[in-house]
Amino acid sequence: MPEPLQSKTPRRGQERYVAPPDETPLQATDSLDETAPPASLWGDAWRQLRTRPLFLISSALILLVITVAVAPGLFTDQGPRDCDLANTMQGPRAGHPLGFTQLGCDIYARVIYGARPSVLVGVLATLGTVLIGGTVGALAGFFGGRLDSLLSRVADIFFAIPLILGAIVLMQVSEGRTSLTVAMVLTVFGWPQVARIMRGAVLEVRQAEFITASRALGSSSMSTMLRHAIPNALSPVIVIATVSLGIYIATEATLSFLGIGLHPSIVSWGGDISAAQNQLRVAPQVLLYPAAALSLTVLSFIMLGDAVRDALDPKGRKR
Amino acid sequence: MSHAVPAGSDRPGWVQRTDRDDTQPLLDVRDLHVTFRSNGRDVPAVQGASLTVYPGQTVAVVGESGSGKSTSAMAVMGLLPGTGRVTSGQILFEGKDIARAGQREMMALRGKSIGLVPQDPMSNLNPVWTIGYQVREALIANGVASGAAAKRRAAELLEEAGLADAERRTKQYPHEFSGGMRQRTLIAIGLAARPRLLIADEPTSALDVTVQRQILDHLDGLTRELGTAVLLITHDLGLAAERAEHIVVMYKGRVAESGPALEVLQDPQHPYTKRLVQAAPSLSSRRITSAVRSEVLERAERAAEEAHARVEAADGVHAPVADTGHDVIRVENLTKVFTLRGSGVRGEQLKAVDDVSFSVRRGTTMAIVGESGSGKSTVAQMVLNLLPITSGRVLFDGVDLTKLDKRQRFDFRRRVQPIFQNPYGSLDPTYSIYRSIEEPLRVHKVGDAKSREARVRDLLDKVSLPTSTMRRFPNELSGGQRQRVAIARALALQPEVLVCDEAVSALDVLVQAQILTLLNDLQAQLGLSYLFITHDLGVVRQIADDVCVMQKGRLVEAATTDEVFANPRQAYTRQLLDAIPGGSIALGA
Amino acid sequence: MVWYVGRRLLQMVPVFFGATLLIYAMVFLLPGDPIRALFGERPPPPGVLEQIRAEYNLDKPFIVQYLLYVKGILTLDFGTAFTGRPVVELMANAFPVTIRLALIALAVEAVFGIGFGLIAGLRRGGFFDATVLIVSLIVIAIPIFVIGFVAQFVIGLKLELLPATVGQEESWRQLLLPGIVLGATSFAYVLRLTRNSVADNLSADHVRTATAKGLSRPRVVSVHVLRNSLIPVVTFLGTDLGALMAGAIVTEGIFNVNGVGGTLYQAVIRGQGTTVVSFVTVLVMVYLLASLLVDLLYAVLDPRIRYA
Repeated sequence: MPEPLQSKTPRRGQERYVAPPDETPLQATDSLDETAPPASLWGDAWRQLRTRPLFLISSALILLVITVAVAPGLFTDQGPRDCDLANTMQGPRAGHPLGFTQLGCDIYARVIYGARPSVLVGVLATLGTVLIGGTVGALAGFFGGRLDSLLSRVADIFFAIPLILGAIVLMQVSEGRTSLTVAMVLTVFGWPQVARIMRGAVLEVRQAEFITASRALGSSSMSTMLRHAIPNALSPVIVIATVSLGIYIATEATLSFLGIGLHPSIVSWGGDISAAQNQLRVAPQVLLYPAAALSLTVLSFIMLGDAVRDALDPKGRKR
Repeated sequence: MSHAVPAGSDRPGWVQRTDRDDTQPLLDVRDLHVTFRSNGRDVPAVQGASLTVYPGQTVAVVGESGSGKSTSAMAVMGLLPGTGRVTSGQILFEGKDIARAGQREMMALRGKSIGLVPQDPMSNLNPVWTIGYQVREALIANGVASGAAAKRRAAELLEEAGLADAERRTKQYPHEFSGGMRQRTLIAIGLAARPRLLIADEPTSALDVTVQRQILDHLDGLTRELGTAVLLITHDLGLAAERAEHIVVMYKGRVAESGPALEVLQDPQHPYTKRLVQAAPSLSSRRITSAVRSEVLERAERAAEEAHARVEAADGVHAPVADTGHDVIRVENLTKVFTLRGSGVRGEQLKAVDDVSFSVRRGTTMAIVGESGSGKSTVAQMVLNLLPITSGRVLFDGVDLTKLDKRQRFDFRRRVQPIFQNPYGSLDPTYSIYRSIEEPLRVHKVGDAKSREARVRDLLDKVSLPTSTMRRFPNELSGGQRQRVAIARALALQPEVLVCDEAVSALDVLVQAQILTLLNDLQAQLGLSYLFITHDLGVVRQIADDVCVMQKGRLVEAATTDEVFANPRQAYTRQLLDAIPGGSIALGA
Repeated sequence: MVWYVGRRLLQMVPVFFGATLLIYAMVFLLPGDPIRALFGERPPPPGVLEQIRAEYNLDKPFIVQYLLYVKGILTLDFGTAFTGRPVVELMANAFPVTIRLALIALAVEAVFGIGFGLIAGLRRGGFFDATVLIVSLIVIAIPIFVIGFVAQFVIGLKLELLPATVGQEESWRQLLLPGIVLGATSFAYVLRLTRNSVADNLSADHVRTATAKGLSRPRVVSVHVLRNSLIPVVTFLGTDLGALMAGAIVTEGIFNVNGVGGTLYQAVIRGQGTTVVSFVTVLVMVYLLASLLVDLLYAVLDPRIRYA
């Protein structure tokens, strides 16, 4: 401690003390650091994400799955329906790394070709739920009042029917049973979850002063909602959408497993697992490979959602 | 002021310590260093702080946010949050170094020897346990009392802390308490085991001034009678000077200056302390003067004429219903009734604003001052035409706001703009500063892209921010910088009136002074009129020409600022004035 | 409190009618012959078509049909199943075993989910936390029928630790493996919820104040951190009870349990539409009831709600 400048009450430790001014340079109050690079909210999140192993692994896996779904021909020259009963339940051999199913189909080819319908269902159902749920949630949260009561009750009704139960009933009576049908059925029962999350986020943003500021500028409610409220409420919706994409893929497989998902003529992981269950005791690998592909795909989306949540959640960032 | 301190010494925990040596420091912090670990780097929070507290003494640590004052106090209790740790220095409590004491050792000290009164009464009580339970817990943990005795003692402690009807209140939950009542509960808990040192971390900053004063008076009385030493952490220099014998001023993790309270205040030596004393709103006594008033008023009239011309060119007709002369805003018998959604079938009615009338003269600042629940912000919302009026009317430039059609309302928006309290909430975090300031121009279709950019540059210059700021995002700016951006956005449409709703309350003292000066300069330059909503009479004195004092929705007093300060006519106004911390302290030259 | 319960009950009414209407409309208002669609690709046996038409009052206007259907639900008259037995009888047989299965699942979720979640939350950022978080993600990601088959194959058939399928006697031992499989996904959710809730509460101001009172760490954790953290977890467990009944479809199918899920599973794969609709309706009712219970539980656990 430097020498005290003045000492009127010489109680030890409480002498008058003045730090030398150069020790604590007085910066110009509240000046801006002009050297740091500009950083937008999304830019920050991206910088965060780039360094996360969870994000890198999951996005690499998702890229792979999407490539397989778009162009399965790049990965195998076998067709999924090139089956020969002579090959029934045979083990792996050159050109057929995973062996054959009971009907003598190449397991590897079926796993590769099974990706497309699953990914298609996931993507379409996610688009559908985010569009419907997002719109309903944003309107209910932003405008409140009677509109909110009405929309929330309607959402409650759909929410009261668990996804798988609702899908069972609706799929029972649907015709066609393509990826589109399954995605539509999942959308019907999946949108309330997105709506709830969007509504909550918009309700929170609506309190912010920049919303009032925008109204005070003369912007219409609609434009305030679109330009300010929704962009700021998007992060939890992005997270739930990513996770849901995985969940929808799993649900589609479950429905196909129950025999009411995709039509049996469509090559899908769920259908193949269902077909393989009877030979579980003798040939577990027939069931295992499509199950592994399915689980890994679902896992990548859920992992991605988790990584994105960490990057976007301001609370998580402090940790 | 009466204190319900039990007189007898037969009660548990009520033993006067006789072995106390008042000449030895109770707490002696020497060259304390604290760092936090963030993104793999050590960030220093406290760099060599020293302070000494003697038994029975009140010592205040004063500083702005980020000065390390709270961190130092928490280090004393061994309660550093997250990754914080003491890297060097000593914390001597009764001669023993506790800077690196183990959990067990600290547990023995906490509550029993060192008590804590935390900052925010809303978040510091556990919502799922009763008040009584949470006080009892402190008694049982420190071996003061148990069983039925603890129950009795808890009620006594609450009563001692100034809570009426304490016995019944022990069965209630925190959410049934007001902020002041919760803070009294926290004081009861902090003093439950009769600690020798009480750390009070901004104990009243979340409360209204009058409640703040009552609680501080009470705490003062209690600790004096019990002989408890107090380490008072505060951002308010006036409050520190009023309550403490010794002051430690901290700045960026270091002690800038320390010494006897009055001496530091009246004769500050360090440049930082000097500026702090100058800026403290509770201590300064005059309106910021940076322009000749008559010129300002003249400019305001000219600005109004320009605005008229603009509106007429756009709209054609502009028919005032009354000639309001020099008054740009006239509020007549304004009333707002809210219907609360109660538990009953019919909602309860709340009269938030009750028959309020006042007017704002062109080129001047009218302040509306009041505590929480006074209805001052509701008035602002109605003047801004953002909230429907229940009865009465607001005349802007002679035109009744309720009679505006859609087109006229849109034009009105250009002429009156708001600035809000929370600098973190008033800018859209997804918008760049450029987009934020440009938004009003775009909404009102002013100019083309090029002229708008020139305008944004000009506005940033007006609020003294470098033009490079426009590429940045709100999360990169400090509170004061954001508030300046908010001012720039409000000025974009060349309004005549700014409605500032607690526009500087969330800012640190020095930044607050800076923004107030900026607002004052802008008023002079552009002839603006301000409606300034605040709870802080100190701020009123710095910026306002006229004042309205509101209480529970009603206007209790309206006069010029000088009159209100020199000669308050209403008891409530006097009460508010008396409650300004440090208001009675005479400053040296 | 009374107001709160009353309001909840009132809110249930439109949801009840809405949900039943939705299920009813789904089946009977979709284009195509609803009766024929109910049977999937198999053509209905002769006579059955007319019988069902009469049973569902298809000749009457839609609203009358719906009201008769609601009356059926309220009087527990769900019509006759494919086999000729009343659906109510099927349910009475099926529910007890499913309830036992759900209890096992719930116990697994509560004990392991809360236990691991608490430890992970207290040691946030540590090795245990990281491991448990990854494992829980994997459990959530693997569809329940895959978990079921793998468990059946590894634990039941290869290691022979537990019975691989459930026989007629339906003993607790036989139900253990399907119970664990049924609770697996929710276990992972409970774990993550507890972990996050504990971690959040740990940094709450009131926890610091409790520590400052001089309380010991175990006391702070149990009285102030855990008590507050369990509020969302307990409510999740409540809602899950209803969801478990629905999740039992796959699990009971795999392990051959003759519970609600098993019956529904059989009905689904055999295309017995009428039984499916009745069972789904009842399960939705159970789900609604569970969420009502959760709301009440919430009011008991959180004093702030009681007076809201």
